[in-house]
Amino acid sequence: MYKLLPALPDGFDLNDTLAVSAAIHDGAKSIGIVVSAVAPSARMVLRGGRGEPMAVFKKVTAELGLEVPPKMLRQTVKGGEHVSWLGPDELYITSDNEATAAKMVAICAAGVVTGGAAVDVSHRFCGLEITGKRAVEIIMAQAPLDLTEEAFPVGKVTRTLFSKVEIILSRPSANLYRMEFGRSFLNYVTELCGAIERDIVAIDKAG
Amino acid sequence: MLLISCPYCQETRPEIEFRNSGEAWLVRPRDPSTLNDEQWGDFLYGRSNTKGWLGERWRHVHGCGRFFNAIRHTVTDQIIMVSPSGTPRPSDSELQKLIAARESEMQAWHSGEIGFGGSAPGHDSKPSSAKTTK
Repeated sequence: MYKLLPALPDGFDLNDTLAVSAAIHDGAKSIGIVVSAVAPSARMVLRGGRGEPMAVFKKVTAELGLEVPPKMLRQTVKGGEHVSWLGPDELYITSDNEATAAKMVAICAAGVVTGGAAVDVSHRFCGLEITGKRAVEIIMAQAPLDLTEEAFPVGKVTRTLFSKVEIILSRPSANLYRMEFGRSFLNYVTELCGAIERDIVAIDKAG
Repeated sequence: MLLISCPYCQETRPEIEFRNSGEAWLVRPRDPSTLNDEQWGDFLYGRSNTKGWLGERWRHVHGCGRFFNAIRHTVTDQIIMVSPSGTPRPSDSELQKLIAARESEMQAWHSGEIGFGGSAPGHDSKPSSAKTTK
């Protein structure tokens, strides 16, 4: 059976990195923001090529038992499996299901997807989930996007920036935001989230 | 900060997601070996350095990753048109129409007839409706 990589590197303590101090961390929880690591997942980038990207998307997602989102910048979610349509010919697929992950890795390892390309990027991405009614405030602090309900509804996904870090931002449900980014940014992003929590708590107190 | 519309994403996004990639619609010579040094140097380095409306390539690098064309005013930074990569340059008359449309829009805005995104002044318009391009 295929074994998924751990969600976070060995020895990385998310809560420890996140907490500027324990009191502030509890404060952030009290206002209903929780930052946590996403489940261990396999990740792959699928490029549809110049010909018929949609045909490539359909073929590969069908093999994985998943669905192509209805349009670009939308995501389909099936349990812990996400298919994100990021660009005209680009899908980003994550799965926390070992059977699906094994299929994904096999497709990538085969090296050939007719008309396109599939690359396993499991080893270089990691993800954080930000939950809570005020979760959007964490994203808002550093992402340059319009995050209003009309502009960023449930099911939307896009690549953007979080501070200086390129992230893939999605919103699987109303009070849940998910960020995927390069593993080497993990420390930076986590500490930044902690600092934003601290600011939100401080502003709440002052206001 | 500029707000730039990406013709692939069909959304207006902040400038920080984009990268300018120089002048657009430069034609690579079909057979470079027939050119003399001056002509080849001109293709490589000669740019119009326009003051005014300039066709540029931009890349939505922290977004969909695609290159596209835009026509930007190099002084005012207004963008009047964006198009997917590979789209031919608009003709002079089309360009004049776009400029005229933008100018009348700007006049209406200055005289207070419309606010950002075309809504009435004093009426708080939503950030999502603010656009730099039509």
